[in-house]
Amino acid sequence: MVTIILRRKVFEIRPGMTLLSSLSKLGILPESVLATRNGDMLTEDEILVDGETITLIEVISGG
Amino acid sequence: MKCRTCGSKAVINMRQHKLALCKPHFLEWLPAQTERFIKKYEMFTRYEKVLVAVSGGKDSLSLWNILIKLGYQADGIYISLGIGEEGGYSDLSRQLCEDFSLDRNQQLHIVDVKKEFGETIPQFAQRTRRGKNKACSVCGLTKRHVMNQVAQKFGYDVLVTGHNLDDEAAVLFGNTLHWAGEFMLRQAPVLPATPGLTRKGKPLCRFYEKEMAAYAILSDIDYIYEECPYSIGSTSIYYKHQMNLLEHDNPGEKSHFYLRFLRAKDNGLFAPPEIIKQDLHECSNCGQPTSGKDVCSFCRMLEQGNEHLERSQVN
Repeated sequence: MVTIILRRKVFEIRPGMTLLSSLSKLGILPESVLATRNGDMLTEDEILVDGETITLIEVISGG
Repeated sequence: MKCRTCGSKAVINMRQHKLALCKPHFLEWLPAQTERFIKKYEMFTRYEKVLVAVSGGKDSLSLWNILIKLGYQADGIYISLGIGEEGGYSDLSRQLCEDFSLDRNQQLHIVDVKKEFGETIPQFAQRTRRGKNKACSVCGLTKRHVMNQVAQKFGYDVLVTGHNLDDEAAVLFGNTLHWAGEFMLRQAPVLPATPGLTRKGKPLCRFYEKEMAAYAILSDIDYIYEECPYSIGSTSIYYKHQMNLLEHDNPGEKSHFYLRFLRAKDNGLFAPPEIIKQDLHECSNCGQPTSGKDVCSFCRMLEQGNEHLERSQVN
């Protein structure tokens, strides 16, 4: 499985999908987050592989 | 996905520009575009003194970083609002701004609201009519007052803020929903100086918030990721989310909304500013320009706070 972390939330998703499809499955707008793997930023066409952890960084702030 | 410039692995894909870039080319592209917008909107030149309002967030620290790299004379101003416990939101954001300025050997003006005016923003919000359930209104008023005060006192030619396109589009969205024409007239990438008011500029107003977050991360800028506790559930975040829903289905929608508004304004769709020009005069207390009868909104808010304090002491 692929682990996706967004702040304190942790999601598990099946591998083999693109980042875009994975976000869509989780109901997360790609416009509102940046995805990183081991600190490196990913584009939305990246295929997520079994066992990896993707950290999402929220980009929207108020004020 | 490959970088359009060099063909190596891209780290960001900007669908609205149909442009994917690798890290080095994105870090070249964004400052170059910033420079282009500064010139296009005639915000300031390299001969002028720039004051950058920094909050510790990704946008303002990135803006300061870009201006320094581009060779502008840019100092910072940080306003300590007193939000959160000791070591909490305000203390952390202040520390990040101080570290940033020390690392880059740049001057940072720090104004502590409690030391300067007797109370923190949450205390003002609790005690004044303006602040009832609206800490953001008190905060905005205080920041505008202090930023202009410091810019005038130290002779800066222009005050710049890190507002990005999502910020601008969300404000425009709200103003359009409420047909707040007067506010729409004042929304622009640059507001010229008037007697007592320093020129204001928004060099990041054409960049999406996601691009600014990417710039901060790729530039290793240490910014405050935690949200201001008062902005949670705010209308501005709700509007940004709505704009992103439109953007998701139609890449470029946010950008078109904002840019076509600017063009419509230039083409005279709205009343020319001189028709609604307000009669500004000096506040009898602080001397800053105001359209109010005697004292400005900020001084009125301070008076309300003081009246409350005096009443509490008598009781």
